[in-house]
This record gives sequence, structure tokens and C-alpha cells, in this order.
Amino acid sequence: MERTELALIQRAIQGEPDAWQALVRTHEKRVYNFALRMTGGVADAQDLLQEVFLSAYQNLSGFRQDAQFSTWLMRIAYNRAIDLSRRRKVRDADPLPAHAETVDERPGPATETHCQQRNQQLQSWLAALPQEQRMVIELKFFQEMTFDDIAGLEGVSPNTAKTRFYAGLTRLKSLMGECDDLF
Amino acid sequence: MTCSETQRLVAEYLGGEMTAAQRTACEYHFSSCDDCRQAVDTLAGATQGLLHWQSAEVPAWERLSTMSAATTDNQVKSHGLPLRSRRKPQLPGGWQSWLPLAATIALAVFLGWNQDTGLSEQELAVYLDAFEQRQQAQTERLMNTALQQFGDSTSDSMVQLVEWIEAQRAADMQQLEASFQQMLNHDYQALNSMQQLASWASTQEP
Repeated sequence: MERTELALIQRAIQGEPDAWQALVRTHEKRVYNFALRMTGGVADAQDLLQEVFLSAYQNLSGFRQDAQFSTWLMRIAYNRAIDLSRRRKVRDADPLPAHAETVDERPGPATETHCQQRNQQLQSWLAALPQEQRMVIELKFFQEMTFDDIAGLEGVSPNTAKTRFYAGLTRLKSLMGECDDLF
Repeated sequence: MTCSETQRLVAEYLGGEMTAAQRTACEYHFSSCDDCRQAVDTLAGATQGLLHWQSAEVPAWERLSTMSAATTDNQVKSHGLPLRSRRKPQLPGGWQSWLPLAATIALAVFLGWNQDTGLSEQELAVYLDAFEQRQQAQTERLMNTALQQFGDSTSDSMVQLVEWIEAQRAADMQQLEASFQQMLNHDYQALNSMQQLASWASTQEP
């Protein structure tokens, strides 16, 4: 870990707002994009973003400084995403895909770019996957974790992680279907 | 599908975890295994689609709120409530839940009173309208006061708001129970009078 980041962490633990803000700024984009893909909607992604950094600050003093801060943060993001999914299941008594907010809630279709449309389409496809498949694809493809690391994080065997990855890709390909022209 | 290795091999191949030698060996297997070749060709399209994700910019947000909330609001951690509440708070039960009961009891009290005073149906309708308006005004005052007092949306204030509403509800219920008891006492006195009258009448019979 970079010395500057370690210094920022130390200062943030001591309660310096500027240090914490700098840390958040460094990692928020990665967490937010993770949240967008996991929740399928901007509003839920913003909620998850806040929960992740709140939890990170609450546990900052327990951060082992021989580890990567980004890895530690993404582990928190993973746990909060699972919590959010469970809470939503309880709240809606329905699995995520049925009520997934698959579109950007910000107004103005005129301002939407082709990139936003592609992202929204990808979000809707990911939202249609079972949560465990969506998570493995996220961790493998976007967070570039190994199957061993994913298995350790999720408490499953590496073979189970591979099976979920394979099943998730199969389902995704089926959903993508004839939409190749979008890309 | 007959190849028992397809899922594992394709996952590892597309997951990018193989060494160069392993990839070569895998591709050699794909060249002779229709199941694996078909699967990897198909699923590679899915991974290509994922590559089109464009990293989104983070909307403006209060970064320091996570710091201040962590130090001042431990309940957020235990409850897991979002800091930025974008949904209207759902009060347990809601003030609407005791309105029908209040209206019923008030009507019952009024009818008991009406027997004594002998009000007409028109007067009854006017009274009920006035009661409904008073009830609505009181409810609006209640909610406005609550919103002013607990205007922000932190989970701490939400807990306070719910407690406050519950206290208001308890007070209302006590008032209603007192009114109901008064009505029962009134009915009991009337019944007692009827019994006395019946008793007197029976003693007067020849």
C-alpha cells in the first residue's frame, strides 16, 4: 500500500475530515460502479455507496495495514450488497429482479448517451441473474478476483464458484440474445 | 453435453486464470471437443458484452456524512438503515389506524348524548362534519409538528419520530378509552333507571 494512503488512513482514524474525504474520493468510483451493477439502479447504488463508506469508517481502526485498502473496502462492499439484497427481499417479499430499478432515475432521455444506455441494458441483464451468479460475475470479471479468492469470500468451494460463473455467463448470453446491435 | 470438464475448463479459460501453457492445452482440447468449443464460443460473447460497461461517474454526495454519522449515530450500524432516506417513512400502524375507532366511539358517545338532547338528523350530520374537520386539522397539526421537529432523515431522528408518534397515539387512545368509559357509565345509569322504573311499575300493579 502506498505510504500516502496509509498516512491518510491514520489521519482519518484520528478524525481528520480531509483525510477521510481524500480516501473516499480515491475509491468511491469503483464502489459506486460495483453498487450500480449489483443493485441495478442509481438510487440503490447511492444508498449502498453510503453504507459501504459508513461501515468502512466505523471499522477503520480494525483495518490491517498489511492488506490492500481497496481489497478490504471491496470486501465490505460485498457484505453490504448481500445485506441490502436480503433486506430488499424481506421488504418486498420478492427477489431482486422482479423489482430491479433497471434504468437511471436521473431525468432527461435527451441527455442520455449511448454509453448510459448500454450500461442500463447491462444493469438490467445483470439484475435478472440470481444473486449468487451476479456476484461471481462481478467479482471475477469486474473486480478481477481469482476463483479461489471468490470461493473464500463466499464460503463455497472454487468449483462452486466456477459453476456459478459458467451458469451466470450462460444466462447472460441468453438474455443478450439478439441485442448484439446495442454494442 | 457429454464432456464432464466443460464447465470447469470454460470458466477457467474465460476467467483468465490460466497460464500460457494451460491455455494452449485447453485450446487443444477445445479443438477436439465439440461441447467445450461450442460453449466457449457462445459464452465469449457474453464476456464481450460485459466489456462494454462504461465506468459511471459518482453523483454528488456528502462524503463526510459517512464520517459524522459513524461517530454520532451508532444505531445506523446496528439497524443497517440508509442515511439518505428517499422513501417516505412508514409509521408503524400509522395515524389512520386509530381514526376509524375514534370516529366509531365518538359516534357512539354522540348517539348516547343525542338521546338525551334530542338532536335532529340534520344537526347530527353537521356535528359529524365538524368532528371530521377537527380530526383532520388535528392530524395535520400532528404531522406538521412531527415533521418540523424531526425534519432530517437520519435513522436516529426516525426512531425519535416513531417514538413520538407512538406516544401521541397512546395519549389519544387513553382519551378515547375515557370517553368510552363515560359512555358506558351513562348507559349503565340509564339501564339502572329502567330497572328501577320496571321495579316500581311491578310494585304498582294491582
